[in-house]
Amino acid sequence: MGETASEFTMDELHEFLNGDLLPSSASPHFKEQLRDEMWDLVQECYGDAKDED
Amino acid sequence: MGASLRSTPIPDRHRGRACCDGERALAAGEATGRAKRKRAKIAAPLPLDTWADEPLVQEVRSGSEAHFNVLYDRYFQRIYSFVYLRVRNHADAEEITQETFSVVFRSAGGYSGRSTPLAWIYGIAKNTVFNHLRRNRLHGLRVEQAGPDPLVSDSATWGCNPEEHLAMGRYARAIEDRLNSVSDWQAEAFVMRHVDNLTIQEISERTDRSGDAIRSALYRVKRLLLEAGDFERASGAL
Repeated sequence: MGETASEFTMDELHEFLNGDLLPSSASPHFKEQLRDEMWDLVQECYGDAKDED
Repeated sequence: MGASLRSTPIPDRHRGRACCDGERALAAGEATGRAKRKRAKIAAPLPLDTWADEPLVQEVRSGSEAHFNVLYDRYFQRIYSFVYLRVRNHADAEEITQETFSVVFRSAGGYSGRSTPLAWIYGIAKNTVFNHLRRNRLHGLRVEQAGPDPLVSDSATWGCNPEEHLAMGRYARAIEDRLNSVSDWQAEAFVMRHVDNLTIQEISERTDRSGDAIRSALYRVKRLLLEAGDFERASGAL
């Protein structure tokens, strides 16, 4: 995935950040379910890094 | 070093110097203590939710759950709002948000820092939404449920008594309700994997979805089905 900030305008990034100001429309159940799923994914991908510390 | 400076009697001829030396020693000790307290105050860690994105990403790559939670909470609303404004329905918004986060966390190991995490994550969300809308335009159809409802049973087929038949019917409806909360392609992907025994790659080619999206979908459907079972067990149906 491209990382170059110049691919986007500042307006686009501001719009993205403005999501913080909008009322949350997502289901809280979905949010927590996805959190668990993503944490499992992080452990699967990077769990060895923590064990090596 | 011997007796303390305060308790040792000081000869008159040395009184002035000793006093100054003693005072200097005491002042030096106090300064050392102040320095130590100052260093301790400076070293106190900042609350995680004040951390910038980049060090959070680095700590997630180290497998830190606390830093993961801060990054996830910081970006969930941003991603979901951005996506929902474009697809205008929660089912698709959930699917795309899930896919976006999957890509973010899978590829965090390769994040090079050439751009800010904000731009990097925004780029992933934008591309994921674009791909979704493009697929919808190309296909333009919803997959219909094929054939008679496979969840409908009769006691002769199942070989169970009326009470068991009723319980199994409730369980079947619980499963069906949960499967209605996932998109058709996600339910299909589950069938392809666990009934047709296709590989992730084969499912990806057939559905025109990324491997990450397939894995996320399978995980989600599996969890929903397990929840249906848990609910029915708790209600005594199973």
